[in-house]
Amino acid sequence: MSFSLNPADFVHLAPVLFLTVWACLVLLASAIGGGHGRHYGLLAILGLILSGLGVALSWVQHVQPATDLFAGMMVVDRFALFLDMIFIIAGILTALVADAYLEEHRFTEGEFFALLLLSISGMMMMVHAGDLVMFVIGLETMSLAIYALVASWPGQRRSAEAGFKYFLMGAVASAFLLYGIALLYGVTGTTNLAKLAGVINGKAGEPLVLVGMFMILGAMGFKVALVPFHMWTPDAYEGAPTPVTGFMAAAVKAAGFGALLRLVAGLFSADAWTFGSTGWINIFWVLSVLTMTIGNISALRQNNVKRMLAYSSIAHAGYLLIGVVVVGLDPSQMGAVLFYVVAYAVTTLGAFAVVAWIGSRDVERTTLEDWYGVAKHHPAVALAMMLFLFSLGGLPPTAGFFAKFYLFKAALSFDSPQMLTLVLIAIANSVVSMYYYLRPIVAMYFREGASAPKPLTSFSVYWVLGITSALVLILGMAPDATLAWAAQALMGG
Amino acid sequence: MDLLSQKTPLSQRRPFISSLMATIALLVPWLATSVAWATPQAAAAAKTAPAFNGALWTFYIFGALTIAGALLTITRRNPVTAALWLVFTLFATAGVYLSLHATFMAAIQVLVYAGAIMVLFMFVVMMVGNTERQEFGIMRGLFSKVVALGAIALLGWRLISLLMRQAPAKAAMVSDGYGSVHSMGGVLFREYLFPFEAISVLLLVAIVGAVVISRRSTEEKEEV
Repeated sequence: MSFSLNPADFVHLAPVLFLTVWACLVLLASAIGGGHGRHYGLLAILGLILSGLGVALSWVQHVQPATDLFAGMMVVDRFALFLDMIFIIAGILTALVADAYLEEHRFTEGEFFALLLLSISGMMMMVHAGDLVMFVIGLETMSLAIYALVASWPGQRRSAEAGFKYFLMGAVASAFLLYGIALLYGVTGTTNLAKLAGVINGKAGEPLVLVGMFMILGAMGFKVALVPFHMWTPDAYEGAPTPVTGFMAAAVKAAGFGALLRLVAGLFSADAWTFGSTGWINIFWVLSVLTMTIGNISALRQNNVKRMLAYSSIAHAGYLLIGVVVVGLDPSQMGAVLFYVVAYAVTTLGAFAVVAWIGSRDVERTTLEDWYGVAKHHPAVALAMMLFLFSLGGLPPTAGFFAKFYLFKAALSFDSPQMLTLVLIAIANSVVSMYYYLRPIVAMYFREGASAPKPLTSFSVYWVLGITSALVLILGMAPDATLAWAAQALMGG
Repeated sequence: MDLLSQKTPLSQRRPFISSLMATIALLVPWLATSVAWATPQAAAAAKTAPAFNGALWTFYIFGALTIAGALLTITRRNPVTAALWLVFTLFATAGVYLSLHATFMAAIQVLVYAGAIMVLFMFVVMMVGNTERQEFGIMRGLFSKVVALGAIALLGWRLISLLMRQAPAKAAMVSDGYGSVHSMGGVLFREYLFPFEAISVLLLVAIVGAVVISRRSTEEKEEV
């Protein structure tokens, strides 16, 4: 046992540490500069860009295999760096939307952006974690920041209620996670992921490990809103300030799936834990079917666009779970899953940016009637929204099409009847989902609005819409570069 | 404020189902371990073990007290009574720690949880005051209760059948001096130094988050 803060290790973690320090800077700036209309969002974006440059630099300079930092507490591999990049891009886009949105709805700005940055550094800690203790700290840092962001809407009871619900359910999930980790620790005497994987490989069928494993995976299922644990999602997504909702759907989901992938491919990857009647893969197969089907069916009945997108995010968690199953069968297929995460994150951020754009002070305008005739007054935004909805539904030439295409292709590469069934169910689900994705389009284009909407006029939102539509089209027409990057993002590589 | 003087009748019918469910949820692991003893390997192991194991019995006694305290906590309808039972539960947990040779953890448990945290609890209960209680009938949410019971029964059955097949392995052995201040400090400031520092970010988030949420309510008052 040696002193474990090796100074050289800090260099590898510079993006995470920098972001944390920058969050404190934003806090200080807001303490000196006052509350409203000061555009702390731009300060936060500057920090995110600098941190993103650091991540890009360590991606380029990365030498395989993965680097263990601080006696195995943190790991730097391309898998984590790729996810870091998703969080940072999602953070930049969210901060741009929030900059206009917060001013319109009179938020206190400094703390909001500080929490946004801190939640991102929590996510980065979580996906870089090489030890379950670090993993929990990262997860909790992210979650606490998000609970506060969900409840941060001034004077809105629904926002407070959403935050409270999310917090209570999240606390129960965390308890399960910790209990599961305690059981694993009890059997093995270690919390280090690599050592744990080695020890439990030799203990096939050990009941305490099984119970611990399912407690941990169940808690992660809560975080990414899989079906038996999805009850909080619509309420939390609907009550939260819309930029936060977009951030949750994009970044928190990416972080949750990143962690889930690291757990199943790094920790519970031995055949004894994967297959058979007590393996996780069968259970995830069933959960995947349930999640996409129930998510889609519930979304069909929604007249509120924000709530509909919340259910749609549940359905997409179901599709992504196919990816988790695929990675469980063959870890080298990680690229297709990560590409899906990127495509979904970009698309959903764009869609929620439109939802944030259309409301004005004290009026959220999220029901379908509110969207009548938007195309007549704002044709460009309506076009962008149509693009996002097509992408969510998986139509070409958008990002969503190739995301589904590569994911299903990866799933079918195993030539097993179970995977074929799963893909067929997913395709049927995609077809059904087009119905509710088309409804806002019909409302925008083919209905006459009673009154013209008075949306946000700030340019930052238009920037986001421009960037996300461009990305959706680029990923949909020339996915090769991103796919190649995603394919390099292997765990431990 | 006469929170303490409120009599809670002993025969409460309303929280019956939830307490029943909680009992089952808490008893399942316990039952499961007792079933595990019934396997041949476990029986053989039990024969070679000493007839009376003091440490084990200490653990069972404190464990039972913890479960009983937790049940009483969640079934009391008066928040102050519930909080007091929570203190009891936390003390009993400290006893469990002691039986596991985690002396330092036991002391911290009493000082921090049963002491400081509970003071905060009581403070908040007093501040929030006697809020209106929502009356729940047995029939209310019956469907979800049935589903929850079914899920618990299914999981419990799975767990028991799992343990019937294979008794749980012995836990990993601990080193000498485990649980002392010295060993805790050594682990905390060597192996786990980085997580220890990272916790400060978590605390920062908690503080900023609490400020964001609570400031909102003062602003509302100003506007009204």
